[in-house]
Amino acid sequence: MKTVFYSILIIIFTALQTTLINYIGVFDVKPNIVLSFVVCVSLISGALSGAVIGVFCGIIIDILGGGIFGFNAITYLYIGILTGYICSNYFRVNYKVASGFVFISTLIHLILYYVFAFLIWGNLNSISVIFIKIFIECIYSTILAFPMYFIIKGRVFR
Amino acid sequence: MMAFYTTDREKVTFGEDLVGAIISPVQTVFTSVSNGIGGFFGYFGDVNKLRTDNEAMSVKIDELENSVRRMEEFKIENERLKNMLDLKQTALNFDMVAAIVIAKDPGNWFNSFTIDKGTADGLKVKQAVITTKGLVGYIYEIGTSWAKVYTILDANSSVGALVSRTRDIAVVDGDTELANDGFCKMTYIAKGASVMVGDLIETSGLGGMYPKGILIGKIREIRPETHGISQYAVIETAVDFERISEVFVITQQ
Repeated sequence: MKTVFYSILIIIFTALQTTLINYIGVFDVKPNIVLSFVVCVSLISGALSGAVIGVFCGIIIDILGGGIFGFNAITYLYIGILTGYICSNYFRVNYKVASGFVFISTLIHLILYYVFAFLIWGNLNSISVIFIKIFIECIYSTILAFPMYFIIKGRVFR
Repeated sequence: MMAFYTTDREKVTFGEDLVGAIISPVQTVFTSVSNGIGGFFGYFGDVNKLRTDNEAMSVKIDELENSVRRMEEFKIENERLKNMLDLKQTALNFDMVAAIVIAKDPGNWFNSFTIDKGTADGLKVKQAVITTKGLVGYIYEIGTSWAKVYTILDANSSVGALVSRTRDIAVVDGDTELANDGFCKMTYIAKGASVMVGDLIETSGLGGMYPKGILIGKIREIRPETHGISQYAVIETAVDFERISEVFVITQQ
């Protein structure tokens, strides 16, 4: 049942990320609800679930979007594993911990993306714009992680 | 595996095609819903604006009708002179496939979108995409029933361009910073070129990807490069990429 629930959410969130989310951008920056979903699943259901969900979501995002294929799959996989492992050993899961992990995960993901998509190719012209975008996306994703955490937790533990 | 996917591919793998085929109908539904909601609220918010726009457009129509009359006179004279010189006529003639934009890039880094047509409709990778306003971009990945398009705003994009007035050659590149405002950057402007604000920029046909003569935009501003040796022009694109919903793919010239 949980598998079916997560599978439906994967399709819905990845489709939403490419459609309706474009209309709620702040300063032309949209949140990453897919990564927020991966982190929330990892916190609630553990590192293994987070890793599996991360890989599937990452592959779908790589297929639907531009850029380096496989990058999102790898980063979401490791974020899923590390989030689940660190939280299970050092933190008690609540909405504050969830929001903190979403912020840090989004920040790490975006910095890595900047390094591999821009920095190594010598594209430094837009560095200030890029870091403003990174900051806004982290904050926005964290805000949307609150309702997502409660929805997933409420449905999984019902 | 990641290295394999960085090479140019004529078609995506079966797995990618399957994922796209599953997700694209969901994307189409969500896009239709968002367009419907936007249209409903837009109806209430736009009435006064529509009235003002209507009045301005009536004035513009009168001016354009006068211009058309003058152009007709020039056309007749042009035909007469061409016949005298015995020149062949060339015309812009394309075979095109209409498509709907069903999704946009999931991240904030790339300016790309997905359309609802693919190889089953006769489309191929690297075909140019346009609207009635001007150049949009090109297809960079394609499935059976969907295709992904890089727009000219994307930092990966580079278009051979021509200043319509002076016929000077240049290159129009996407730029991450300028893309936020819907602008591009025109570089490699020749030292003696006399470009000015307001000049129209069209495709030059060089490079083979884009046909010649498609409007890209107009020069909005001319700025010095950061190193101070040369200049570049900021191009305001003819196409409004924020509101793009229907496009045409050029399948044959």
